[in-house]
Amino acid sequence: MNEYTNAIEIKDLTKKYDGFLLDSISFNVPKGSIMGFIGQNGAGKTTTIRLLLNLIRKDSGSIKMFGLDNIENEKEIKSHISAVFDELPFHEILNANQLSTILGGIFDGWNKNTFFNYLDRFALPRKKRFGEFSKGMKMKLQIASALSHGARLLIMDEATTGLDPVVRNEILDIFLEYLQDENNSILLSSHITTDIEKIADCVTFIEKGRILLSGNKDETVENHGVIKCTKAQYKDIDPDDYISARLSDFGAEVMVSNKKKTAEKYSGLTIDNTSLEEIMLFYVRRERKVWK
Amino acid sequence: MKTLIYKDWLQTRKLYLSLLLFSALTAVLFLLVRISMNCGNLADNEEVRLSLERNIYIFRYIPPFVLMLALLENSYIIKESECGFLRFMRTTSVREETIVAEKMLYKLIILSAAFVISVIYNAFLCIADGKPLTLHIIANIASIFFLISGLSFYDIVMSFGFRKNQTVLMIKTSAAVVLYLVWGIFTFKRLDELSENPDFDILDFFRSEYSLILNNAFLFMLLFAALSAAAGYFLSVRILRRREMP
Repeated sequence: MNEYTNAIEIKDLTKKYDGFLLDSISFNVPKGSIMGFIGQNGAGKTTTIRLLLNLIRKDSGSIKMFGLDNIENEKEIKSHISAVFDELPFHEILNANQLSTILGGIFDGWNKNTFFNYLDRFALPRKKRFGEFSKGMKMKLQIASALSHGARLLIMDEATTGLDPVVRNEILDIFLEYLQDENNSILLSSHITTDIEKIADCVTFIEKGRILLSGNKDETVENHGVIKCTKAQYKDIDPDDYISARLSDFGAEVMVSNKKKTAEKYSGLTIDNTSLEEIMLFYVRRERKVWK
Repeated sequence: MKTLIYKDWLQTRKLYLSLLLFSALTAVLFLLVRISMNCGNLADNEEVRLSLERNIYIFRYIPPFVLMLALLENSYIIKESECGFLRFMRTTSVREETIVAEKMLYKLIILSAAFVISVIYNAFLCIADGKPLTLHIIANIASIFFLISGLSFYDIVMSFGFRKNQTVLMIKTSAAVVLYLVWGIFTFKRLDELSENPDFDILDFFRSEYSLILNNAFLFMLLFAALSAAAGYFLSVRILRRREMP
């Protein structure tokens, strides 16, 4: 494969459904990074991933993976990626031994030993039917499968949703290990911002089919802040200087996207650090501007 | 492709092994009935024995009939789309042609096995009756299975189109049953009667007894199966390539 800077490059990607429009979105997933793709339910995360994988057809725009067009070089690209969805895609009567045999015929780079090592590490039984697995076990199995054929890019669609914190932590640690090879990259879509905050290098926030922000996670969190002030102080803040504000009986919380510039302009106000979850909450309500 | 065939076998083996067991049990039942007719309790009752003698040919049809219905069973393909396996395959480098070809090949393997089982079963019945297994019986079984394979390959297309309409399934199954009954019972019975004549020639039978189409029924069914397989293959690949999987 050629040299490339970004594992995924999306430019002006558009897809229209009845009642939903993915509106000319653009973002990149740098090689060797984890991109946290966050948004509410129905924001367009899964649609974007389906377009990446060519499971649905785009209306316009371009998608490149490993520097190659995702349609012209579809099969070559797909030999180097693994997709993990929220449901186990294998028949419930199969067991792990049988699955290893099946996947060995599907993936050229399938490594049986790696797969069984992950099964042992996840304490997954080899002869038990998948129908008897719990949700956490099924997700661990999917991840073991995804990591056992030398894929350069993992695309995870809500892979940690519905899992308990212990299992989620285990899976996130596995992702960090996977990224120790700097040729590997991960696109992790989720609405659980705490997971993204824990491991992502970059973050892209999508809302109603539009990208609201995309960039380095630490810089994004560092640049944003929340002003906690009285209602009287809030009235002195220019609406163009904040994303949205939450009013309560006790005062106002105002989300700003440039802490440094805001601090210079409104020197009397204290700007607190924020989290991805708060950023998401305030961005979702940016059109309303003020909410309770 | 081998491992995909292995997967399909794992998903369907219970059904086919059950049918194999059913065929074996039917053969044993036939043998018991025949023994009873010849030297058991039934041998003394002339009226019952003659009635059974006239109708015992029905045993010929039972396992092939059941096997035929099994060949129309493609719910495992629909199940693959329901559990997300087809979507998973679309995320790999496996080509749509390979996915479809594997399904066709698996169907062909099962078809061949069902045909062999039907021939062996009928051979057993012939031996139990003290008669040779003649070419006309094998040809009839083959033509039935060619007909069913044609329907079955078309059904693969429907399954890739993810149609789960139960009414369509019932109509299709009923049509297959009617076809089998009309073709199988009429032809088998008639050939059985005619083959008692030592001068009987099977080719004369086809030339004289049936219309122009049915004279070449064997070839017609073979052509139908081949065309259906080809059409099924190209249509299924087209459906898979164009079908969105949201």
